[in-house]
Amino acid sequence: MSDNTASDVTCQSSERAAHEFETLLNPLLKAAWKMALSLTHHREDAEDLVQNAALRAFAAFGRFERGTNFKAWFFRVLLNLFLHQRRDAGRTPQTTALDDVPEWSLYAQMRQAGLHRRDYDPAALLLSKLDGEDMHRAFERLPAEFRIVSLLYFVEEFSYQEIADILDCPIGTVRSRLHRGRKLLQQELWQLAQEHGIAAK
Amino acid sequence: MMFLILFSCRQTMRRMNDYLDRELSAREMRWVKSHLTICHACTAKFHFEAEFIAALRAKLDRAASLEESPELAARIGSALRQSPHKDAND
Repeated sequence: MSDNTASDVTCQSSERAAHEFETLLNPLLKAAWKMALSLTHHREDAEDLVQNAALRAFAAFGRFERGTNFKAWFFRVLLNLFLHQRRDAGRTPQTTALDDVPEWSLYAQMRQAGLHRRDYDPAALLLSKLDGEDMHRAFERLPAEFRIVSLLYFVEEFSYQEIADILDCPIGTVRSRLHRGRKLLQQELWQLAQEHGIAAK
Repeated sequence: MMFLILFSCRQTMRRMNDYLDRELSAREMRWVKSHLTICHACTAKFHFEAEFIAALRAKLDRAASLEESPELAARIGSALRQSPHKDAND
């Protein structure tokens, strides 16, 4: 086989692989973008994260088992890349003991503040007073192990099993972190709402 | 013989997240649902939590849509064709 012919074959193979990869990736791009934006809170950083994750995933595409969950696989690549970059930037994730999360209820707080009435939806009322930046701040304030699980759940609506697959951890860990993360997130949103004067402190 | 299982408020509330996320067994889903048909206080809390999840997801979705980049797919496609790729057989 001449060098030209060998090179043509390699090009065709790469083009086929790129096409197959894009067919799987393109329907997920919006979801990946949302997740990246929630992680980085910055448009350019989010674009770079998605693009770099795509390149990294493509380089490892040969190891992806065809017929398994490509979305979970790709999100795993994206999250690992994000965590790796943060470690390199010297940002050590804040962690907390699971027992540190106290019993707390947004529902009870809103009732106590007189913001829970039958003629409107109190959850929507609270969130209507907060903008996208507030949402990001609330997630950013969560300890890392709760934040990632909560983002996968709220931003992408992954099931518990899918989150366990992405993070490579037991489903019980996902369940407990998500339940506590949800509560912590409500606390942060409530605090932000108070800072905006929605409810008296 | 069929036994009617009744969850207490505490047992029901402990399962709220799993119920809303449809992560309970079919049998436990039924037991929680049975409690909710007779308990207004728990129903109000479940309703609030479900509304909170839906409202937060909608809010995050809108925030991301506002900043979406239309060129991202094209940029990635172009970068992929210039990057090395390993076949499974390599």
